[in-house]
Amino acid sequence: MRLRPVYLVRPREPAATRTSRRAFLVAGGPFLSGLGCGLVAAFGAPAHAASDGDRATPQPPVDPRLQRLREVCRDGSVDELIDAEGAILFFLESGSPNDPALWTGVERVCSAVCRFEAFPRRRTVARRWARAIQNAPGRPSHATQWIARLQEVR
Amino acid sequence: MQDPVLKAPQAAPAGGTVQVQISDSKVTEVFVSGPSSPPPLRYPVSPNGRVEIPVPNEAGETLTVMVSLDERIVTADIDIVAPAP
Repeated sequence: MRLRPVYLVRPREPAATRTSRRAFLVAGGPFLSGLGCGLVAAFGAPAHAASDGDRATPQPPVDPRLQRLREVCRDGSVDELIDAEGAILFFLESGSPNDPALWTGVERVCSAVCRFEAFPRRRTVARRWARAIQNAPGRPSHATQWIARLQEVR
Repeated sequence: MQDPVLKAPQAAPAGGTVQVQISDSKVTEVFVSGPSSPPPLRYPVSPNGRVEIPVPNEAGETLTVMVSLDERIVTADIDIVAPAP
């Protein structure tokens, strides 16, 4: 009798199963991190923006010339005011009619014009400021006291 | 003392025109404050730097010509005088 070997072959595990697990891990990792980022973007960012909005309203940039002029109006010497008084008129008439610092400067200029006879082109400047105060829509009520005094300057 | 950027006469006859000269080629317009201001009126600067400004018929008033430069504002006052007879 002749014996014949019998090979019992275990069926091979389908390679696809291992591949799909690996593929799941490889593809799933980025998917999950993408999902995480998406959720943060969807819910986290608006909340952050809203809290920013509550904290501060964005302000338009201030003209650096106006910034310097405000300092001169408040703390500048009489000579600096004399140099700056044309610029004060420019900003009052072309965009900042209610600026309190500029009006402080106007009153200091008016006081200087009325007090100092040596003020350059005194009569012209006095007439100009009397008119400018009279016509200014944003003038503070106490500025009107200067109109009559400026009109008296000879 | 006048700024070299803006040359203007000290006086101009009422009802006429006055010419000012701008020596900075970046300046394209001037602002003029007068009896009806605010707002100041705008006049374009011609390629040769000259600006023609009509003078209101209000002798005794003042025109203030204003030029906005990057760093500063330059101004010049022009007295409006009665025209010669």
